[in-house]
Amino acid sequence: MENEKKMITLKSSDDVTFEVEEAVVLESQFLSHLVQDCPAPEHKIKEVTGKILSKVVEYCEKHVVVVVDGGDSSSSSGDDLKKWDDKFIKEMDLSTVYDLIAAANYLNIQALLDLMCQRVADVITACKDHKEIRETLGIVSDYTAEEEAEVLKENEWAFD
Amino acid sequence: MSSREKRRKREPSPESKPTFQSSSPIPSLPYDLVLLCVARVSRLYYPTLSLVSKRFRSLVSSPELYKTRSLFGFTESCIYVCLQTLGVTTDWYTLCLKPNHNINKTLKKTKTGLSGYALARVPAPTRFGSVVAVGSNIYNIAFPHGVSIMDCKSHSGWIEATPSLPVELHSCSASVVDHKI
Repeated sequence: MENEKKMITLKSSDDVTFEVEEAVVLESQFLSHLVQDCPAPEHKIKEVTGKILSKVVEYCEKHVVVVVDGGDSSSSSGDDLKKWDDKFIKEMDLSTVYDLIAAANYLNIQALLDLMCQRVADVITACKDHKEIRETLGIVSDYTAEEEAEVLKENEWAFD
Repeated sequence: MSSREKRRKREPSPESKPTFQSSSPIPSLPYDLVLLCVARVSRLYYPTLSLVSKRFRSLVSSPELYKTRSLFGFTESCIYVCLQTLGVTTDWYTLCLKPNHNINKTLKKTKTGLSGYALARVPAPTRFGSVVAVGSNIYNIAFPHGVSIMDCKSHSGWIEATPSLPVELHSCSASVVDHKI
């Protein structure tokens, strides 16, 4: 006999609600503890906005489904999941990536945190020089021209 | 003829230093989380990253970064090449990326025979003996009784270990067993 799936409602800081299966919530260590310790039907997550929480839910739902369907975690489902992850991150701008890193860290979802941090690392390594890194990450240099020249000189061994 | 040695080394073991919370290099991301991102970036990019801003520079040279890399298993092996010509002088090099190259481009170019990698010169010890690598340091045990150490995180040169060896060496050979020389 099929067990009825337990549903849990998550509410974001800006009061957007998401109704998800318990299995989805268990992807987050923080939420699984919260659900266990406080068996209320609705949980408010003050630190995460609706926009970001929807991404978190989307990610966790996908990963739960694949794990359940895959059963023996066959390589094809692993490949599909990887393709899905790739598409998931490619559609995202960097500020969403940053927010998701903070959310994944707060909610303790290691796989999502890994995926998002790797995205930032990939963005950095795709840049051809420090100027492009500044431009891409939106960083204003706090070096004076002289200081920059000095650092360049210090690192001369690498730029010879 | 020149003798040639290659040393592969493992990276940094965690250093026990009190962590200090410095301002984050990426304003919209806390420092600890930027660490997690940068720890996944190859060390070959660190000289470039240090040019981005002062905060990035301080991050790529921080012990926390190397601690994070070790903790999450993002350590890399680095190749050092030491060329010894006739006599005692040696030239030391390490592999790095040429400016304006990134690894992705470099991999593509390899097919056409061009490489984005270069051997960059790093400081050489004044006397050259038997060298071993432990953690992020290279130890050079040289005649007659000096041990000098280079920290490969900064390549800032060889530091003479004190005290020096109590006995004068006539021949020496060093190797590493279980992270100990």
